[in-house]
Parts: sequence; structure tokens; C-alpha cells
Amino acid sequence: MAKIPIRANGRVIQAEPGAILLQVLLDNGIFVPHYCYHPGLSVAGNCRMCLVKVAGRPKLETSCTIRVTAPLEVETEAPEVVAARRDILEFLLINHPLDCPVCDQAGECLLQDFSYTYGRGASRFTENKVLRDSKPLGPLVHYWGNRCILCTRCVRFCDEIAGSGELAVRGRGDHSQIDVFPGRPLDNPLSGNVVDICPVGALLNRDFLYQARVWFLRSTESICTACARGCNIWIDALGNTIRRLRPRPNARVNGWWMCDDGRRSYRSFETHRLAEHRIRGADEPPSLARAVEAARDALIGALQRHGAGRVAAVASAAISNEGLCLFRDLAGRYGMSLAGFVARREGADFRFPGGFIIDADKSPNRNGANWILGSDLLLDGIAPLLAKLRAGAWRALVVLAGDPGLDWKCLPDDLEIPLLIDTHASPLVPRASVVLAAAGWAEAEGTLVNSEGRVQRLGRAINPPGDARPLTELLQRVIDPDGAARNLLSARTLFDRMAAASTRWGGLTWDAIGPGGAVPVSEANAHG
Amino acid sequence: MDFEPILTRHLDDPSYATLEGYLGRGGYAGAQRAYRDLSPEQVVEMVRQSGLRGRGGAGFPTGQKWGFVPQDDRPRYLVCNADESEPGTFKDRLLIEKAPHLLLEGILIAARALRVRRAFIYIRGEMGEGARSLDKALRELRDRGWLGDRVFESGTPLEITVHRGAGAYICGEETALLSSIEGARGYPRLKPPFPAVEGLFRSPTIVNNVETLCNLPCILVRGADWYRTIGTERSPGPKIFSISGHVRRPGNYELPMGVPFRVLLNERAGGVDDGRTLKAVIPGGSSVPVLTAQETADLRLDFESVSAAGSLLGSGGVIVMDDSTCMVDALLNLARFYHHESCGQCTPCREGCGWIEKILARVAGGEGRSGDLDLCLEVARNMVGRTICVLADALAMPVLSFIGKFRAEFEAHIRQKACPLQGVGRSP
Repeated sequence: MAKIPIRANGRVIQAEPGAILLQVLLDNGIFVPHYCYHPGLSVAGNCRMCLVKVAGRPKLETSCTIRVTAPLEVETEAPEVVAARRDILEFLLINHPLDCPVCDQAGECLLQDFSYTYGRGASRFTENKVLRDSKPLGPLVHYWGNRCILCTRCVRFCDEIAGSGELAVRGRGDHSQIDVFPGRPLDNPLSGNVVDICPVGALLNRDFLYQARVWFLRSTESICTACARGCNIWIDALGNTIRRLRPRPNARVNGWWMCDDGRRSYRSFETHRLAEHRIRGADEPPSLARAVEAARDALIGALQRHGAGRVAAVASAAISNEGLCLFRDLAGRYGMSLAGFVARREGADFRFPGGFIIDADKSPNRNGANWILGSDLLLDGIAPLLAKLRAGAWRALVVLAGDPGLDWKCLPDDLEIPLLIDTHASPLVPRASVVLAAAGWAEAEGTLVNSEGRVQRLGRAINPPGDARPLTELLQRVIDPDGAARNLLSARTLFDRMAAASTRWGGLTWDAIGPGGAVPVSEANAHG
Repeated sequence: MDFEPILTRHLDDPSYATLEGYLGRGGYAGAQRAYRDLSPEQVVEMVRQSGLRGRGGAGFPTGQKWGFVPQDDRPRYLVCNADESEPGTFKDRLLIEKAPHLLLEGILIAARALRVRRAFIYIRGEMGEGARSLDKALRELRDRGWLGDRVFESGTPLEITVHRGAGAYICGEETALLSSIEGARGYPRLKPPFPAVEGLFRSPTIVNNVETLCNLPCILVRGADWYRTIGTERSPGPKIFSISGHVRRPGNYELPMGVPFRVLLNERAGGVDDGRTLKAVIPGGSSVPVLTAQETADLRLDFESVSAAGSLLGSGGVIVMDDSTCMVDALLNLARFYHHESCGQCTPCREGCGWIEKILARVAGGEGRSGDLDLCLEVARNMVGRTICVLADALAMPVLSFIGKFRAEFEAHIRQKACPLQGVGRSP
């Protein structure tokens, strides 16, 4: 259908028929402040903040409730619009505690931001304020009723996206507040999203509570690795500690949301990390150079003892494309067999009423491993690996772990582990001749391929602990210590080389992946 | 003034509430005519010709409203708004309790006109007697076989459900009422879509007031031309006025539209009490602007005349205040009501109603400050026209008119730190 012209503040912009006027204005760089409107939710029209002047209409109208069906002439900065906004903000603030100094939302609060930009500065309200409840609504979310502006984004999220409807407005008028039903806490698998969409400090994440002032946080674009969906996220770190993960909007992957499991996945960086390399029998942790030398010796020793056909290598499907490429190179360089890559699946995909999906596939790079190593090397869980070990008559196994969810302890006792590269302590650590400590998914750059064939970039939000190094660095050093010492290749270079060498990647480059990821052209065609 | 009541003529006869009694007074003749002799289109046309305007407050032409219903595959619903809650208005309650069959006949006629198979009566929670009266009348109608699969042996089925509210004023707002029937919180909905296009259960829905529907039987029996001889040209028909406050005989009085206010006040309601003089009148339910005694001198009670006088006929709930009335107290009473009843959905109403009440409470309590009145006026102005429904306006209009017209009295409260009528003042 033909687009519809809108004259906005004198400038002509084009809108799809039926589009929401507010969204059209926002998409065209004309900012209209708003609270209750959220592009991922139904329109409530209750905050009244997005009032605009529409030519030919007697009253100011909320731009979120106008569907564009005919050409319009709109003003967003007319004096009456400016005045109306100022008045609405005054109303919003009269019963608000103005406790910004002790509120976690301060610094990313739309009530603060809009008050500075559009508000009146001083309050004319001298009456007693209405007091509302402050209480936890569920395991992850705490509610501060006094700060609430009752935009109902959270209620609509639970109704429309999570589909579990735990939240409702209780009470009437200025005594209204958000609440749960007795005995039914806010504990759906997506509950943390209500914190992100709360425009003020009413709903806060209990994990993040009082952990950091947001303006001290450093945000890094990345990908959640809790499942193969690959939700786009921000990693917010204070110093070298991750404080929270937030969904990064991507209409093609996760919309505006992420699940609570993913949201909490940063906690794996806090415990049981491998921070030092290790040589079995040595008292002191070795230097990187010494550990790499020992790793090479261990590999060569195993190959000599057992013979080339009796040593294999296995990787987890949590490892980045660049790591998997080097893994293949490592096996080739030393003449080891490729035992395969271990992926992990739990239950079935969970599809929410709002379209959001939590993948049953818990391996964030199963597709990348398929592409790089070939799907015939897929091991769905540890059990097929054990079967393959028995059939292959392998005596020694090199393990590239990196997936704390895999249960390695059932590997046969007589299997030699000459080299283990891992991020976390595991039952294999004491068994391995040499252990190299690797960086986790938030500590090194890399690329993953999600369950829909989208190549996405992991960001480096923090430094790995202690001596731990990016997996790609460790592998390069073990493959060719001298070459690596001269010229250590970055993830970017490794990806570009890999992509240039195979049509599978459709000519993609690191830069072309972009913040929202990219589906290789050949892959896109294959999916129709 | 001589006027033979039409809607309320038989209300003193207790048997009028029964089917037999109602039939004995010529009841259901209009509905039978609608089903047996007329097509739905003819019924719509007849109502359009009659010029009947909605009696719930807005005065929208009923026939025109009916014409908005799209004819598509979706079911259509008729909802009778019996959630009469406007302070000062008590006409629908009278009709429901004393003449349930008159209302049901009106619903039957409207259902015929709109090809509706399912109608709801949303009755205010407090009206227990009314709900029982309707239930009994519905039972009688079903037992007679006039309701259910075949209304009046026609091919048309109709079911009528009485839905009792839970006492929220806002549920009288037609879209909040629909949400409430659907089992949701009674929040007014965004318009468009209007209920006639997408209302109850996302289907075309016509919401008509009790008194509006009660006007239909006489139109069907005696014709649109006859109906137009009553009242004024643009506001035809009879109107039940609820008059309350400082009058000797408060109550419901049926008079033709356009009747002089003084006829209602003096001839029917007996005027204000001895030794008192008229001070102010709220002519159309608590949410419309107040008029001074002077402004009511030549006032006629029809939609156009009351608008011209600067207020609204609204529901026809006339609240009379004599010279003993403290206007600050009266306005505070209204503010307390609207603060209590604001649904809390839209920011200006949720926050503004309470703010105004708090300021007025201070002024009334002798703790007013200079600037309070202007602030009150500004808060009220900031509420007008910026919300989903008109509840905010319903408080703002009294605030603007009370302070605008009786400012000296408000200022005296602030100056004297007390009510200047102390010892004399009383609430209406």
C-alpha cells in the first residue's frame, strides 16, 4: 500500500497505513516523550505524556493512540503541547517521593530525564503524599509503589508476552498500585523484563539492587549464551565485574526481551572459575609459556604412547566459531582424530504467547559447529561421546570444554586427558595432564551462530580472571608457539579468514555482521 | 403547568411492575408492533424520526447512534446502562424498580431494530431491589414465551442478562461498563473504536440508558410525529427530572423537555424552604457546571437551553442549593466523590482529583492560603480534555464554575480562616 505523508513540525515524513503516529515520529527522529507506550506491547494510552497537536482536531491527542489512515499535520512542540507535557509531569510527580538519591533507577529514569527536559522545576504541591506498598513481587522483582506512575507496561507484559498474567492494578484512583494475586508471585521465566520496561524506579531487579550506580556501568554489546536463541544483550560491568545483563532490542531475534535464566547467567563468572593454568604434579601454577610448552609435550607424548589413531579431540558447542576453527586446526596439526562436538538439549522449546522463545538447545553455537565441523560430528550429549569412545578405541582425549552444563565426570577412568582447556573447575581438571584456563563468553570476542542461522558477535565486557586467556589465543599458542608469539590473530581476523575460505559464510565479514547479527546470504537462501 | 406523564404515569400502581398489570395498561403493544408489523429498518427510521436523544447525559440522537452499527458477521450486542451513579440523579432507579416491563419492552424494541440476539442490563451494584425487580419481570416474560428462542412467535431469538455491577461510578462510563461485563477491571477504553463498531467482546455494541429505552414503547405505539409534539424541536419528548437538595418536595418529576426550571422548582418541587432564597443550581447531575440563581431565572430545561446558559442538561439530575449552602463545602463534597471514584488510569485525573480535594479540604478547614484558588483552577484546567474518559472534566467543570462564580465566598474562607456561614452553613 502507498505510504501516507505526515507533516510533522513542518517536515514531511512518510508513514505506513495503520502505523502508530508516535512510532512514526520516533522512527523519523522526532522525539515525543512517553511512558506507557512500548513498541512491544499493546497501546494503553494512559500516561497522557505523548500529547501532540493535530491540525483540525479540537483537543490535543495522544500520539500513541492515533493510527495513521490519512494525511496528518502534527506539531510536537507547539506551545500548548509543551504546556500540556509540563502539566502531566507535574501530576506524575506530586505523589512521587523524589527519592532519586537512594533509587537504583536514577540515571536511567525517564521520570528524571523528562523532568529535566520538559518539567517545571519546582513543585506547587504542598499536600501530604499518597503512600503505597513497597514489597517483593517475586524472586527477581521488587516493587516500590511510591515511585510507580501506573503506566501498566508491566501488567501488559505479563498478560501479553509472558502470558501468565501475574500482575494487576489494585485499588483505584491515586491509591492504585501494581500487585500480584495472593499466593501467585511474579515468577514466570521472563519476569525480569518488567524491570527493563518500567520507565521509573518502581520495579527493580533484586539481583542488581544497590549493586552499582548506573552511570558508572560500562555497557558492552553481546549475545546471551544460555540457549541457542542468542538473545541480543547488553553486558553492564562495573570495573571488572558484571553487574547485570539487559536485553538489547533485536526484532529478528528476541524483540525487546530475554529470559530470567539468561539474565542470571552472568553469575557463572562469579564462582568456580579457572584462573590459573595447571600442570599435574607441579606445585606452582606455571606461566603461560611454560603451560603451553607442557601442553605440547603432553600431546606429543600421548600420540607417541598410544599412536596417532588412538588420540582424539572433542569440543563443546559453546565455543565460538573462531575457537572451533582453531580446534580443527589443532587436531590436524597434531594428527589427532576429531571425536566431535558435544551439544546439549533440555526439554522442548518454550514458546511464549508473545512469540518469545526459549530454545531447548542449550548450546549457543550448535549451528556454528555444524557449519565448521560438519553435522556428522554432532554429539547430542555426553552419552554419544561415550559410545564413540568405546567404538573408536581411543586411549586419550583432548577436551575443549567451555560449557559448565556438560557432565564430564562420566568419562571412563582409563581414558587419558593430556590437555583440557576450560573456563570452570570440573571433574576433569585433576585428571588432565595439563589444564589451560580459558576466558568465558563475556571475556573474549567471538562469533556464534544462533538456532536460526544468524551469525552474531560476542563482546568482551570484562577481562578474564588471573592468567586465563581467550581460547583462540591458547589454541594459537599450542598449535604454533613461535607464530603466535610473533603474530597473535584477533577474533576479527580469524573470522574474516574463516569466512573467506568457505562459501558457507556467504562472504560475511566481522564488520558486516553488525550489532544485530547477520544471516549469511547462502544460509538465508537455504531457509527460503 | 399541565402535563400528562408518559413514562411515569402508572408508577403508583404496584401491579404495573408485574406482567399482567403492565399488559393491563397497554404494555408490550409497541414491542409487538415492532416484531409483527415492522422491519428492523422501519423501527430504526421511526426512532430517528422521533428525534429521541439519549437520556444518560450526552444527549446523542438515538436513531443516529443505532445507524453506526456495521452489518457484518460478528454478533451484535445491546447493553442497557443501568449503572445510574451520578450524584443527584435517581430517575433510572425509579423506572427499574417500578416499571421493569417498560424497560424490557424498550430493550425488545431496540433489539429488534438492531437485530440483536443478546442484550445485557448492567445494573448498579447498590440497586438490589431493582435487580430483583428485573429478574422477576424477565422470568414472567420467559414464562410467557416472549423471550428466548422466539420473541413474540417471530423468528427472532433474544436473551437478556442482568449483570450487577460492584459499585464503581466509573462503570457507568459506557466503555468501562463493557470492560466490567467482560470480567475485566472497569477501565474506560480508548476511542476509537467506538462501541457501536467494536464494543462488547470486540463486537458491535449499542449502549443505551434506561430512560432512553423506556421512551421507545410510546414512540412505537403513538408514532414519531406524536412524540415530536412533546418537548422542543431539537430536544423532543418527555424527561424525568430528579430534583434534590434544598427543596420542599425532592423527587422525580416527569415534564416535557424545555420546561422552565422555575416550573420544576416551584410548581413541582415546592420551591426552596421557607425563609430561604435560591443560591445555586447544578442542573444536570453533579458533573456539570453550577449555575447561579440569577442564571436560572429564565432557564428552560432542554439540551440547547442549558448549554446556552453555560452548563449541561446531562442526566437531568437537578441539585438545588439555597442561601445557607457553603459553596466550599459543596465543592469539597464533589471533589471527594470524584477523587474516590477516579479509576486511576490517566495521569491527570488520577493525580488531579486528589490534589484538588486536598486543597479544598484545607480551604474548608480554615487552612487555606492565598494562591490556593488559582492553583485549584489551574489544576482543574490541566485536567480538562486530556484523559481517556470525561471523569476528569466532571470534577474540573464544577471546580471552574464554583470558584469562578462564587470566588468571594472561597476567598472569605481563606481570609477568615473559617466558613463565613459558620453556624448557618449546611450541605445540600
